[in-house]
Amino acid sequence: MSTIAREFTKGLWDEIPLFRIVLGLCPALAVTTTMENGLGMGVAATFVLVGSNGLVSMLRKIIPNEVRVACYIVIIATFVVCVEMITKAYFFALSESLGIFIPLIVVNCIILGRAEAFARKNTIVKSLADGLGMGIGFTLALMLLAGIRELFGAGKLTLLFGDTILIQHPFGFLQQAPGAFLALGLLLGLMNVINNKIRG
Amino acid sequence: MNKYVKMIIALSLIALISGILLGGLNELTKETIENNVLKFKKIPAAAHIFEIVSGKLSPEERVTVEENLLSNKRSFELEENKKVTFFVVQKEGQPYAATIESFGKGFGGDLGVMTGFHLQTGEIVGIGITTLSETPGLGSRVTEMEFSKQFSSLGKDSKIMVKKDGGEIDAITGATISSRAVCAAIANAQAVWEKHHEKIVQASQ
Repeated sequence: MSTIAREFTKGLWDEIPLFRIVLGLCPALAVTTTMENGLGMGVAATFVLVGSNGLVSMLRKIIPNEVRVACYIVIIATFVVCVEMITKAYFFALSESLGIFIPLIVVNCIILGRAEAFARKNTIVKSLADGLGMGIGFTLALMLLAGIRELFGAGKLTLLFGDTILIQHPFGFLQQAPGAFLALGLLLGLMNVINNKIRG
Repeated sequence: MNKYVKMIIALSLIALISGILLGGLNELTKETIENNVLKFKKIPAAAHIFEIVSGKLSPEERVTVEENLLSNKRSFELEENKKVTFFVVQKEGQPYAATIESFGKGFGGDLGVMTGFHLQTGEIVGIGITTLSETPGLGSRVTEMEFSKQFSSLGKDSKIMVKKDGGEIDAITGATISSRAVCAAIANAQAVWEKHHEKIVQASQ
């Protein structure tokens, strides 16, 4: 497998942000009440991640080492404000339901983490692949968590089945914050079991 | 010295480019965002006041009423360069009330309230909530009729405050801050109305 493909696929399983490197938990717990929100948040974070990774990698020889984190934050914040304006202008309902968590992408650890740990040491193409892989992995993880919470907490999956009620008596508490912790914990455990099985 | 100059230049350049980019994007999206806020927040709140004045609307009627409200958008200058937009709610085809949006500090950020004032008497005909980020199940209950109907027919001599603060409004149990925010917002709107009602009435005709 070529290195670029490997940088891309590691974000989908080996280093999937939510479950393996366990970063970015704040939005993961807060917005995953519906699958739609999970998808929206994931796409927004992916856009920022790919953009900031690419730019940080492009400027890696220009940015002085001493002020690099300040530079990264300005770059990340720029992309986040872009996302915020675009969602407000073209996906108003989504921006209403994600609310404060869109601006808060600025302080999402995954994004600064990838800039600091990966993009500043690697070429643009590799960094873009890394950002895209991580972003898609984050989106999938959010959608899985949100799907479980929506299906068992509200009894429906609006994104896939509209307003059809799939479960008659859902556990409402899964929609609350404690339910988010519980669902995430179970998923983390499940991931570890599967991973141990694969590794033998 | 050279090192510091380099740092300052790099950081300033990045900030400058970012500023230019965001400024440009803001210009591009500003109008669409304003239209969205108008369409999805302000107009539904004004339509809610219309319902209080003229009775419940069916979904089809609501569409016509919302279109009508949008075309009855008026504005006047509060002070230099500061425009206030308001909507005219009609009853039986005649201008009946003017609605002004104002804000109070809620538990989860700004709480926007649309207040409707009777054009002749200046009494409050009803309120509608525009922006709300209060706790679900507690503060979010300010949208319920049980709470909002308390403001109807209050005039300029009424004390628009919760009972705890010496006013005449029953706060929602467990949501005093949200209830206070609504009262504060309405009091603000009332101050604007008292100061400018001649201009508003004139612009409503």
